[in-house]
Amino acid sequence: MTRDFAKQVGWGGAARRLAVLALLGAGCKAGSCGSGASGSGPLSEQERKGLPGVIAFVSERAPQKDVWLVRPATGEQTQLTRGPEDEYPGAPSPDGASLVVVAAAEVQGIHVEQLRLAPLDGGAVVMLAPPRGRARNPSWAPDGSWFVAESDAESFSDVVKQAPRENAEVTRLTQAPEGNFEPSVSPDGTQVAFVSSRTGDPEIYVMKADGTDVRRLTSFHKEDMAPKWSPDGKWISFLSDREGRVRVFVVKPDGTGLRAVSGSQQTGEEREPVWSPDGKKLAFVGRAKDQKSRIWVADMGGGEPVALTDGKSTDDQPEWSPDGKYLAFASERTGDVELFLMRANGSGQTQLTSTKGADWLPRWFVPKTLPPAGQGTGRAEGT
Amino acid sequence: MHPFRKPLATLAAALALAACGPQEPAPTETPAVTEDSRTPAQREAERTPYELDEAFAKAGKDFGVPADLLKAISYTETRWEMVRGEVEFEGMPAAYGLMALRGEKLSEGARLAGVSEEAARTWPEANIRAAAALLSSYANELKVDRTDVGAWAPAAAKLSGIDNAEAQAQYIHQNVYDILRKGAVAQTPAGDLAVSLMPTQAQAKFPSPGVVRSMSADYAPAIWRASPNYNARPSGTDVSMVVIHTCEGSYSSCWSWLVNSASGVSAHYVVNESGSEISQLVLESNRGWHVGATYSCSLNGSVMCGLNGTSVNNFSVGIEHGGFASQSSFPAGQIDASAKLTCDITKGQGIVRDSYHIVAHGRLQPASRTDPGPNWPWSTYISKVQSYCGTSTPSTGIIIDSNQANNDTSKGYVEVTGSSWASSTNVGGYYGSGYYASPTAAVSEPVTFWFYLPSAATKTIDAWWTSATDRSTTAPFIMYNASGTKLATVNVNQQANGGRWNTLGTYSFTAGWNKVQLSRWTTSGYYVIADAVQVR
Repeated sequence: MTRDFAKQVGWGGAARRLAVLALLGAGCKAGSCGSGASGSGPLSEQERKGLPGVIAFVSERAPQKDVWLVRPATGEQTQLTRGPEDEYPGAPSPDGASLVVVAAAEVQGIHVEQLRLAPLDGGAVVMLAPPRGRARNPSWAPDGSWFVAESDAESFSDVVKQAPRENAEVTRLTQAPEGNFEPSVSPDGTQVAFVSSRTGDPEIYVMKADGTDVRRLTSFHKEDMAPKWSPDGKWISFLSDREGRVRVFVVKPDGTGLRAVSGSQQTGEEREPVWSPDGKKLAFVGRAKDQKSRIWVADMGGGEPVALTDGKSTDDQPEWSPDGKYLAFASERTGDVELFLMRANGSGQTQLTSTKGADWLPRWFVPKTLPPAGQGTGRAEGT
Repeated sequence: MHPFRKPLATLAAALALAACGPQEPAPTETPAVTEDSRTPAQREAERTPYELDEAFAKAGKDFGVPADLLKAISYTETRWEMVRGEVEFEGMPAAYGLMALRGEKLSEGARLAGVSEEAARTWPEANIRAAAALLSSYANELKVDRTDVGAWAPAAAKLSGIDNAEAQAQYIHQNVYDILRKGAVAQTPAGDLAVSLMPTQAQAKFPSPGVVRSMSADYAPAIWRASPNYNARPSGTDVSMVVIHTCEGSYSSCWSWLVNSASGVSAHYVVNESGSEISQLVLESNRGWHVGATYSCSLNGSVMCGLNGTSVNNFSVGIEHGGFASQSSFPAGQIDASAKLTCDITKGQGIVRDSYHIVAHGRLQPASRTDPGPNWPWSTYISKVQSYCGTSTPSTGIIIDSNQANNDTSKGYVEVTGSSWASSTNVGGYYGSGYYASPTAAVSEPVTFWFYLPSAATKTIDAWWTSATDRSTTAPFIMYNASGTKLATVNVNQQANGGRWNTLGTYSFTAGWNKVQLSRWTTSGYYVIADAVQVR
């Protein structure tokens, strides 16, 4: 009798991570989320020292999930949230002073979500709205004066807009009773892309930031999901199963230029597209049949996408460094789920976290002020 | 190399004989399931990648329990899979292993068997031995005649943890002893014998309470088993979602727990493992899940105060499924039965049939729930729901897109003639992923939208294009039947009405491959646009 049950361990965790990605708009649609790959040896100490900013991530080292911060340059970690609920990193504010956190809990059989603003300087966490059944997928205006999110405050699911403070006025931007989901603010703050099922299946729409002038960008009888505006404003990426598998597509905000980013490359089911800071590249996860998920990068200038990880173990959730030179990602290659770093070409793969319990969902940004290293500090390790 | 090959063949023959008589119709298999390329046999084999007969035999011998009974219980609970359960309902601990042992039963079984609880949770032998030891202790307590398999029924019922008499009888007669009589066999992925259960004539010595079945008011095929655990939906609530769960246990234990007022939880429906039975516990018009959803602000460190009573429960109909989120596959019959049910619910409640409205419990409960796990076939499931509801394309309608990758070419495909047609996305509002454009000319060189009809039918044809000032005002669409007879030509103005379906007319098509062509042959100096054609 065999005893290889290790392969079953972590299934539950993978499913939970899938679920959370859905909440956070990371678009993890099919297959499992996790991590693991190859490379040409870890980054040198010297190179590490030059890595910018801080990476917020969710850690399962405690019974509840908390948001932690890690400095990629040093591996020093700080705990950001300490709520009794599970908390996940949403979107950093444009000025880098705080992070929107999605809290989720089950209270007497009721599933509850809440958006919170966690200042990086250790200030009190701000409850952005009362807890409710649906409060997810936050997206910031570029000046940080407001954000949009998915909410069921007045309906099944609408896109709402509010200022990032407690008791702020909440404006409902959509009305379709069939539901409105996954908003993404344009980099100039004038428009919001979102999904709506108003015609009977999910399509991508764009509206002005005040909810007027709704334009439909896609038309097809299968599902178009998870729009994400490119940082240069030229493209909107989305997921679609129109070809019988989920693929990453891009379309210009005027509805022209639609195409699948992976061309004829055999990437499998695709998900989690993330734009490079200059908007010229899209990293995404592809999982071919009977294989583990790998991280790919497509150049918007053309050419076939390139695999950055080798598929020997599950790699997921790519996230660009603010300078676009590196990627953070979650990997299962050590048996636990840990964050890893690599250069944007896939070389120099380096283990960043090593705490027991999954560390995943990286959000890499330049903070207004670097948080002080706190308790639980751990050094990063090379692979 | 494969010492079990011969016994497998013998077993298969025995089972084929045993399987005579009324049977459920074989569920239809949907091809091209992108999320799971395994064959049904591979999926099934991966459930039990261990050779377990010896472990069952040894546990049976060591604890004086019929090995076949252990196999039958394991089959009923997990279909011989080492499950790693989750807590689905408060008050019901997670189940582990081939025998689905949970909570105190797992602790007590491990103690009696002399194995650690960790081993009983994660090692097949230890898990079987813990269940056997516990079953043996129940046999002593209940003074079971150990030589009579039928006499073990009350002990098996006790091991199941089911309290409800009807559910106990169902579990014993329709599950455990039914599989004892029918027999079953499982192979490992390598093709070796995983578990063999030879058919026997065992009859459970267990009461069969006469139950008057009342049928569901919402869904005719379902059995009505009322749960007290519900309340009214807030007035004016539109039901907008179907939430898919797994029981984290067997069907019988699931519905019996949810109709128990002490559990304080419910679901609208529970679908059994084979798909042969569905229970409805709460009317769709009521709110399921829990009693009196009054949120106490003093709980949870007051952090979640201010909850305004809004709840996913308000908007949703919930379906539980016998089984476990961690299981490696879900039976096709269960997926089919559930998809039919979901179709019915979405029709009745006006719910959009897409992945934003038919969702996993896990998508709502990231913190504490995983059901139904990563192996729930989502794409297949939603396609089946659409198909049963007749809303999928091409179930009642066929859409042929200019981008071949978007077509199911067994139903419809596009064919381009000549070299003048350019693929384009220059003008927005196209259907799918773009369109073909060609300058008008005194030559046909059409784009042909082929579609298959199994029998002659009258169908309405719609066309989609993107409009601009350089478009032809007389773009010629020509309809042909399957024998190539021209039915009609319709000239359309493509400078207007772009980005939507435009009706060309209704025609009598014949069985086979009919076609709609867009020709280039019209007034020169313009472009004709071939984007998509709908047949309805």
